[in-house]
Amino acid sequence: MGRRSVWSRDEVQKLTRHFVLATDEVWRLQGGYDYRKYQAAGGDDPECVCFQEMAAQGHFGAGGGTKQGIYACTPGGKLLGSINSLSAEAVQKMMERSLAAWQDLPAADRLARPTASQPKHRWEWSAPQGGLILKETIRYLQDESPEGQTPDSRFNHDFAWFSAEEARRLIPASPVMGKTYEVPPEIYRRLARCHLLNTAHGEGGTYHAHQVQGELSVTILEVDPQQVRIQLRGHGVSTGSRKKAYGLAPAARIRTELLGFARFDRASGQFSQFELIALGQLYHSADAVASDAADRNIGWYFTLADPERPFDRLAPTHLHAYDASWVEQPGLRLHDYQSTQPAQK
Amino acid sequence: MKCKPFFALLLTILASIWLGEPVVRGEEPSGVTERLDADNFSQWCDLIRTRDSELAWQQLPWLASFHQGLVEAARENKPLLLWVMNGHPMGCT
Repeated sequence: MGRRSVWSRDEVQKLTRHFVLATDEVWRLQGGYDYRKYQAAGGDDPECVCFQEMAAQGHFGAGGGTKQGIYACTPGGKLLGSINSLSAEAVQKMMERSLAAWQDLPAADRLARPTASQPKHRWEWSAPQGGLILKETIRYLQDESPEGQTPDSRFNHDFAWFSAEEARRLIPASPVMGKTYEVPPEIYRRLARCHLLNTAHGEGGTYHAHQVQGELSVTILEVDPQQVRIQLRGHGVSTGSRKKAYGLAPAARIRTELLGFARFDRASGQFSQFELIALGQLYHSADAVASDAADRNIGWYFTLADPERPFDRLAPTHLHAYDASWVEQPGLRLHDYQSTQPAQK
Repeated sequence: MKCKPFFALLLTILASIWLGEPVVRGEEPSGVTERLDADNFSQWCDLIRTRDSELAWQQLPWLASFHQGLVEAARENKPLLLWVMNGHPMGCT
């Protein structure tokens, strides 16, 4: 909600002209739950350490827990002001105070630069060249029919990545019009584990491979020497365990059905069109009973990311959990050394 | 003989309570609810995907990382305004 409530205010938008604007994912920057443990474990990514030293002076102070919020700082990383608020007015006041502090700084402080801030690892660097880059939109749905529904005002975005080789596996080597082929299970598994999640109103946890069951098939609608047009059809069930989860837990159970249409360019080996809808029914219990009704309906929409939009090149939120050798992992994996930390809220 | 199913059910319920498990367990209902078809596909797409009017905050000239922001702030000799969330603010939060 803050994404809209804060940045749509005219006064805030005017003030932004006095700043360089940047966004980032905070969990990586802060080194997991507690930056002191990150550094003690050998975490030394300059971009992260630079943020940690600045954020320790900010609204949440030193110690564990999220450091999310809005920070104003010098190019050298010296904190000018910070806040974590959904109030546009409060953010505006923080920006005004920070600008005043900037004006009062000695020139030497304004010109100071950080010792280092060049990151050692960023997830975006694993973006698969020539692969299938999908943008995902997630919304809760009011009903099981699209008729008469108005879109939920809250939604979320994510990205799904498949390498060029993985994407090509969606198309059979010798496609025959009208014939249906089973898609390799790892394609469905990635979607179900890391993307068909209860994330419409906030982040959610992933599923383990053994917690997802389902299938995806491809029917050839058109085929000629230049292109292949396909229909994707699938369904599945994912069940999670909140009791055993560390960090964010996935929904107890989601039943999904999928339908999509795509066009594959045979010369380039890439998809030129891709739209996939998945509809899900969310349940509070992992145990299925014959008469149970869904607690909530949810929908996911996948389409080709726009290569011209910088933010369509963000990494999938759960890229760390992909079962893909082409994903470059950081030297220090936050999920490895902080697995016993309290659940992230 | 007629009492056996009743006692079996009772034992199941008591065991379920004792073990802290749900009272009734069963197989995942077979058959998929078919709510999606080629005729309503476009309607579902329109309902779920975002419109530009919903993405006003993306119209501001955000850079996508803290490091990029520091570099650009130094180049422009301006302060940096950094917005960070659990999950990237331009992605899944």
